[in-house]
Amino acid sequence: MSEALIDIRNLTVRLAGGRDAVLVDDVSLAVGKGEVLCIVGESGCGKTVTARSIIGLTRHDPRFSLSGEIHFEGRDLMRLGADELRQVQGAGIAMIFQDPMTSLNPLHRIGRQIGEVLTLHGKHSSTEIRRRTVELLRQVGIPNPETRIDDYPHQFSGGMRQRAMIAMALACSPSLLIADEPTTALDVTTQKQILTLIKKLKVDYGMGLILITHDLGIVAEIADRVMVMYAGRCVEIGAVRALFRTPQHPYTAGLLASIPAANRVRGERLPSIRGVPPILSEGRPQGCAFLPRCDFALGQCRNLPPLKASGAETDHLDRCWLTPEVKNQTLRRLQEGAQA
Amino acid sequence: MAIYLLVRILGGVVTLFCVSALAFFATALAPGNPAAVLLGNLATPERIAAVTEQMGLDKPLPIRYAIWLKEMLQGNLGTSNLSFKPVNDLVLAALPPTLELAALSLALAVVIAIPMGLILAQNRDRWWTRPLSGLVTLGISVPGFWVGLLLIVVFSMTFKLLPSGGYVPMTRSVSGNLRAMILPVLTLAIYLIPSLVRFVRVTAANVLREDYIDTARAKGAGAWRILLQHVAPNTLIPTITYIGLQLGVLISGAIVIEIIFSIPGLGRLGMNAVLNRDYPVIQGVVLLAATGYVVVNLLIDLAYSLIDPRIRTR
Ligand SMILES: Nc1ncnc2c1ncn2[C@@H]1O[C@H](COP(=O)(O)OP(=O)(O)OP(=O)(O)O)[C@@H](O)[C@H]1O
Ligand SMILES: [Mg+2]
Repeated sequence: MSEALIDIRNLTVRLAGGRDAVLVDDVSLAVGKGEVLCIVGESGCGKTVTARSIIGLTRHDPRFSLSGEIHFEGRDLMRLGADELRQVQGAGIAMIFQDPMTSLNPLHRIGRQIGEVLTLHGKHSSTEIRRRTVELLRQVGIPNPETRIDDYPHQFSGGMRQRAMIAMALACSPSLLIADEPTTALDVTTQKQILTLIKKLKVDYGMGLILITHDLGIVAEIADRVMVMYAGRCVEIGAVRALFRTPQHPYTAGLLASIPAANRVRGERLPSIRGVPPILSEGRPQGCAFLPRCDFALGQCRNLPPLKASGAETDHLDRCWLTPEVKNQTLRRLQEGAQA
Repeated sequence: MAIYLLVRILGGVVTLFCVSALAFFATALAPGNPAAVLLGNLATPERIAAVTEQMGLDKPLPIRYAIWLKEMLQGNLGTSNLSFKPVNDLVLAALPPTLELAALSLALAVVIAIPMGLILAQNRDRWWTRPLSGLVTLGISVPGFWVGLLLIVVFSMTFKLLPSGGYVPMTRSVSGNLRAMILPVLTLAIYLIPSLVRFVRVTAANVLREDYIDTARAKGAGAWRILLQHVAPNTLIPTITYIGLQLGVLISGAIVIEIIFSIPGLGRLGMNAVLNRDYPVIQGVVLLAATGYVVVNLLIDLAYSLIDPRIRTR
């Protein structure tokens, strides 16, 4: 990673109101210019809360209390006032959400919703805004953008709405795009198209990308680096090759083992991680939160392991007490056994 | 779109037809012979029989209904049993005060309740919305006329600032008309506001949880822009429907207010007619109120289809 585009340090998000519910716990991550970081993990492990906190959606939400630092373009976003933060939102950092069916205002025309970003960030000439909006719609592959610009969201299909959301995100040429499961709500063929589009536009616009997904196939295809989250913590982070080849955390190994490989014998049972993750709003077990589900647990695991490098690469970090031998051989075998 | 409106208009016509039947049969089947009421202590069996025949009350019900319906469709609501004036004239004379009272009160209520509901929703996590929301809940449970009586005591009896009742036609004196209307309009508006505020607050709070509000925030839109451009329109659409449904409350409220402030409107006319078994007038008032209800709701549907692109562009 060259120079960091965004550098997040010790991001912690708690539920406000006295309850000891930590939704995101001490997460640090950095994304370089043009780099793709994927965040993976089971449902409810804090991926969305992390993403929303990066772009500042949880900052002024009284339900959450945040701490940590988010360095972006020379400033700590956590220290910005509401007005300064708004200048970054939509311009420097943009976000695409999971459900395109509900992410657009049903009463505003598509063009107006895309144009709103331009208006908010300084463009005022309506002909210029319209010209740019048509251009954006064309770039995201909407046919007849000159006429579709005046459509309402309900006249768009799900895939087209997500394209419109992407156009909206690109409007001000952000340097970081956050996409929270942008294809989960779409059908399979549309999923592929949208992903290809994001990949292409990321290169065209030279953006850094934080992509949240459940699909490890997508991760293998697009990611430069991967962060694995469990129960609000980063349990493993590293370059995609290193992390896929030599997973250092049993949770990562479990996730990788549960990918249905193309060459799998039909009818053979797909390994899955037993048990379910804790519900974060109700608190977590002490120490390593994965302990109750882990096949390799030690007595030590009642204490929280630090995030440290134990594999070959120095930027491949994990939060697990197991010895390097176990990590590098057993976990790897577990994963390869599943793939074979 | 055209089909949608046609269906709505047909629905309105059917509703009115049902109401007319209800108005007729409810009064016609009510116990007591109007002829006897009319004659009062002059009644003898012979006189009653004569008047009954004269009023057409001896004919079978369906025939009476057919005659009544025919007259009504020609715009003739009959003659008052009490004053022997045409019901049309009575109703037309009573219409302006009621319309003015209802329209002004509703306008005042809307102008106050909608911004208030929106702002309460936007700031629902701030401490100062608690007492206001409490006040709204209190307002919903306080009977409307209680506020009216209080206002009369304060502004009219104690400070002698405003008339405690009566009606001045606008054609005679605009300022007199408005002065007389202040307290009744205020009372009726205060009666309407709390439930409207609550509806707007709850609806807007739900809109604020919608994903597209997050989209707007992620674009860098500020709180006021989000409230005015995204929350308000999406709140107004259901609110318009709610107001249409609240017309019944408005009408019944207007009746109470007209009686408290002795305003010679439809409510008072209808009330007196009920007390005196003046059936043609009762029917006329009910029919007019129902027509108003249906027409306003039709207009609301029309407005709806103009505001909501999901209906307009279907
Ligand atoms: N407003 C809130 N109030 C209470 N709990 C919340 C709130 N928002 C999120 N949470 C909790 O935070 C935890 C993390 O949620 P989050 O949406 O970040 O998970 P996720 O990893 O994105 O899951 P998914 O894959 O299902 O999208 C969940 O346990 C959720 O219940
Ligand atoms: Mg999520």
